Amino acid sequence: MIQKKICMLGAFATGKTSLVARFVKSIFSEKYHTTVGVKIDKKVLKVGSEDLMLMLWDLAGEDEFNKVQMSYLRGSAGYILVVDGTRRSTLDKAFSLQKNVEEAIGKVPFILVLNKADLVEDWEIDQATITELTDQGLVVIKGSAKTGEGVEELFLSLAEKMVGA
Amino acid sequence: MSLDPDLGQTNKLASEKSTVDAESDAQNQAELLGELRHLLFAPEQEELSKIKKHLNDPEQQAQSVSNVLPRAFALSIKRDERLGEALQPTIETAIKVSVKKDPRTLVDALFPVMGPAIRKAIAQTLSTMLQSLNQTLENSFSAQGLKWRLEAFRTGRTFAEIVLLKTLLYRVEQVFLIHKETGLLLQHMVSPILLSKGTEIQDADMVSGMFSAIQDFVRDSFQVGQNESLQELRMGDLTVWIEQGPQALLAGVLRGNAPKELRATFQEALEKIHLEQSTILSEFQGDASIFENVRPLLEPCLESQYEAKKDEKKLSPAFLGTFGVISTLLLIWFSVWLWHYWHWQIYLDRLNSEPGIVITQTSKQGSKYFIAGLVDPLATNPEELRKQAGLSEKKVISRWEPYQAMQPKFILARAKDILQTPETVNLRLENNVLIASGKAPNQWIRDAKRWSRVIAGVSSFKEDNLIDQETEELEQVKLEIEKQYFLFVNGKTQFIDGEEKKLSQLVTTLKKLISLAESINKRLEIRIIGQTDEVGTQDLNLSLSKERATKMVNLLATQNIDSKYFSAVGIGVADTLTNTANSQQNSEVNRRVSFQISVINTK
Repeated sequence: MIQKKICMLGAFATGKTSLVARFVKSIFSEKYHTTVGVKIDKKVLKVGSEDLMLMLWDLAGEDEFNKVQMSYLRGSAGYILVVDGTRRSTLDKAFSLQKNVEEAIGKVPFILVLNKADLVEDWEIDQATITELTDQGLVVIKGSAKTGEGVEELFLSLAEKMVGA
Repeated sequence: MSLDPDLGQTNKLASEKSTVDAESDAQNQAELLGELRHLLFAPEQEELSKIKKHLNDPEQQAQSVSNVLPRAFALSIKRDERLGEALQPTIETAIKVSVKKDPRTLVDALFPVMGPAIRKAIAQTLSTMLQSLNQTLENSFSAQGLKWRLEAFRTGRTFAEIVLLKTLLYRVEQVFLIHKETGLLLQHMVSPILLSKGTEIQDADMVSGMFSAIQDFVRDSFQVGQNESLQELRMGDLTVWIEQGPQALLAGVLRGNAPKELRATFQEALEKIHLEQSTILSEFQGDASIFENVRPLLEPCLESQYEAKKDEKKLSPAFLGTFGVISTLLLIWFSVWLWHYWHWQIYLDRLNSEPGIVITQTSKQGSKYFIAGLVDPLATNPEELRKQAGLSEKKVISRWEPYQAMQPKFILARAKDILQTPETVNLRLENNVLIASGKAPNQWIRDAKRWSRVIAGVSSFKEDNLIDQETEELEQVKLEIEKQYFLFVNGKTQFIDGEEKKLSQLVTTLKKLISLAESINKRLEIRIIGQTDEVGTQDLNLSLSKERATKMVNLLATQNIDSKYFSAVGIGVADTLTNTANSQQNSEVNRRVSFQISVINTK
């Protein structure tokens, strides 16, 4: 089985952990985020007819106290940017992160996921913004950890992008 | 009109040569020549120009050279070393540039080679260190240390090796081969022991991912140089050794206390992998199946698991038996020797403290002890002492010679013997003066006086406290006689009835007295004293008493006792006895004769 390293990045409390919790296999507890700054998860999925194993480096969220460690990104085949749809600021944060990543490891395929899609009332990112992003060539997926919406799609899209590239 | 510059040049030269004469002529000729050349050599001329063009074009030239360059190198190398020498400065420059640009490239390339060389150098240093360690350990002398020392001697290893061996107990549980860049797992191996135990093993992929994350974490969090890498993790008796290569790292999880050699095994395995799989490693895109063939290289890492060899069990029975027998025999021999020696010492001590025994020589003759000395016949027999000391006579050769000890004890004993001292005499020696006390026959006393001076160690003889036996007897008899008295009839010199019977007894006693006195050279003066009672006149009584005394003398003379011993004395009424209240009895008692004896020395 082919293995690929991918990273999960995003601002603090964007729901990265909840997003993946049900859908990946993990043997390490949440405390790894705060102690080491990263937690390793594993996801196996089928891309076409082939099995692909994704080693997920679930990076601790960034806030004013913690910066995401760029060294963890080394060797990544792809990454996922997680945004909290109910907080606009997290989208901006995602962009700045993306720039940092590109600086660190170059142009690597990534997916932008707008999490907490179930909280429709609090939603702060309008369709116009989304269209803007997709127009720029970004792959944007709406998802919800609660409902499970978009999670499989998220990983599959990234996988395809990586394999395709 | 020329087709190429060269031709034009020739033309020019030609024209310069013959400018004056036939310039026009030459020109014509030249034209014709040119045309002729062209007709004849057109293809060749084209070829030539192509070649020239090729030569002038650097790119094309490079191409053609590059084609033949490898072959040219190969051929040159076969011929001689000129190429190497010529290239040397170039290569040096190349290396410098490479290092300047990025040293890692060169390091990565040299990695498989450098490792063994460095390790060899370290091993040398370590072996010398081990020697000094050995020296230090030499000084430890615990019971266990002694046991290990014995084992080292027996198995031919150094003591330090044995120490390390005994204290080692470890097991390699898992081996991870991880791709450095991505943290992805390339290969994972688990020790069969762990598998058979059914121990739960965490997902190796995630473990290896996290592992790489930890390394990054440490590097990021603490001031660590970029070229530094994690080498060891330790928690309790669990250790993870990490060997870093340029593209992959090897992590060995082991429990216990592993030797340095194991680390070298890890390093070697990693180097081999890099050597054999370098291209595959650099092109790794996630497909780890291509690393299956790396497993045999990782095997040795797992297999170098062992527990301390229980070599003691391998002790051959023959060795043990012989050793046991020999040591028992030695022990027996030693204890026997010791026992004899101890008893010998006791014997010597006893001899030394015994008076009258002088040791002149002691030695060991083979298995026997030898002793020579002087012994006083009156002293304790050395053989007796030997028996008391518990030595058998077979163990001791003795040579005793007699001598006379001069201790008072011996002088006295000798004196007693020589003088034939009777039991009634008690001899004592003080400051070489022989003092006798008690009772002895007169003759003995006289002999003793004479002979005592001949005894060695006796300066004089004192018999002051010695009682002459004969003298004593004489005294006794004397008293006996003096107790006696004969009673007379009133007014007469006639004995009363029955008194004559006492006479014979008296005679016997007197004779005894006389002979005794004579035997010891004493003179006797026996006064027979007559007395009367108070009746009558003094004159009458005096003469009566005298008559009575005389009568006794005569009587004794008739019994063959010489009268020279006697003197008859009459004292009349004097010295009356009044021992009873009865006056009549008193009177009777006073009508008597009694005796008074004096013993006088003749010398």
